[in-house]
Amino acid sequence: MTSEGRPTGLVHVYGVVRHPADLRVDEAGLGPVRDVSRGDLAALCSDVESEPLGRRRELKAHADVLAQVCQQAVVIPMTFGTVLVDDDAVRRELLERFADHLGGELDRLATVLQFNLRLVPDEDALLRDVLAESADLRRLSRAIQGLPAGQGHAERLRLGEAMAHGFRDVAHRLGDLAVRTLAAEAVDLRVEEAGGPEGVTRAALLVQRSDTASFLDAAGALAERLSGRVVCRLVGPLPPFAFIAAPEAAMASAAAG
Amino acid sequence: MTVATQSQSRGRGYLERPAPSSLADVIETILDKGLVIDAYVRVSLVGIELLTIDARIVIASVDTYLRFAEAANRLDINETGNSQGLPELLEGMTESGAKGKTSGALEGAKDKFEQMFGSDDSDDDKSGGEDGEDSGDDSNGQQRPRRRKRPQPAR
Repeated sequence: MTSEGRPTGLVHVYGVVRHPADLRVDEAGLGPVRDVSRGDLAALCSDVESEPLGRRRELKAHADVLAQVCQQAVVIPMTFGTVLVDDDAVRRELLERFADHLGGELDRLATVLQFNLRLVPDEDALLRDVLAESADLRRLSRAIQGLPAGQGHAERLRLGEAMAHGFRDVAHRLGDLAVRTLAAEAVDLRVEEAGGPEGVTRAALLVQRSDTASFLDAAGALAERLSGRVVCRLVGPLPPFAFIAAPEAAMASAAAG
Repeated sequence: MTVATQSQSRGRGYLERPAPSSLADVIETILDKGLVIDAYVRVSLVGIELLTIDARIVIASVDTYLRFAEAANRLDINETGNSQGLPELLEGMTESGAKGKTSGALEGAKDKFEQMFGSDDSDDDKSGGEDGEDSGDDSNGQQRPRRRKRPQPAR
């Protein structure tokens, strides 16, 4: 236990699993990980040793514990910073109050895992594509090269702007097709960013546990296919962070007390 | 972040699978994600480390334009570093994507996908040719996804 300050008495919750669950958590967590159970639900918790939360180590601890747990059991991840006053509050305000919602989500998401895909384009490679596709831009580029140094600023800007548009367009098309390709191996997806300012595409994909191997093969084939143009990064398996439904009525009635 | 990524095989060498993952990966994974309930004590978050996610370079700037113009002059498309042409690449991926497994649940995925990328392929967005009323010579018949609806950075 790396105690950095006086104990706060508060309890941080990573997520909720079915109880009983035979879990082995080696990840450090924010502190020792234990479970607080009520009925057939159990919350995975650590004592909060110091406030405020949000340091690098704590963010990672939250994600790491849940990533390890999701490989052993179905887990509904809580958003980072879910902290209750004590174990009794965990039972009452989380496990009891949201029992139906938690049970429903545990059933709904019983067979799936999340993978996060990130596509980062290589600037030069995509700009080559832009030039290859546009005779106009090639002409403009050659015309500028023929100008004396110090001249042609407006032309340079015009070329650069068109190149920037072309870059984003190609990045968008590649991202589109990449996500479309992997969507065929997934049951759900969230596109977080589609060919953003730097051409980056990010998506969270929900994959059947039993399809993990073929999903990874497809992702590998995609990465090979895009190599040279786009670097494909895949994080996971993760719990279905991006696919958790908000509890409905409970949000409105903030009867917290 | 992942634990059991040791068992990789079958030509996945091109795929980056970080373990442990970076802070950026973690933030992308958990920030504003997961179950939110209203009854808990919100412990204030340290802001500094979260700022990294907003540190995005906006591409549409004069500096970028000049850099890209320089790149256009530098990149000799004849000694193309791209082993395969873009049209062939996109074409091949379309085919392989269509062969994927289909299940009823996939429809949900498709809908969300199309909200983001747009499914209507009307080509109303000219790229690469700001000056080109007449720049139809390079159209390759490829479906061009519509630009997404998220706000674009100002020029």
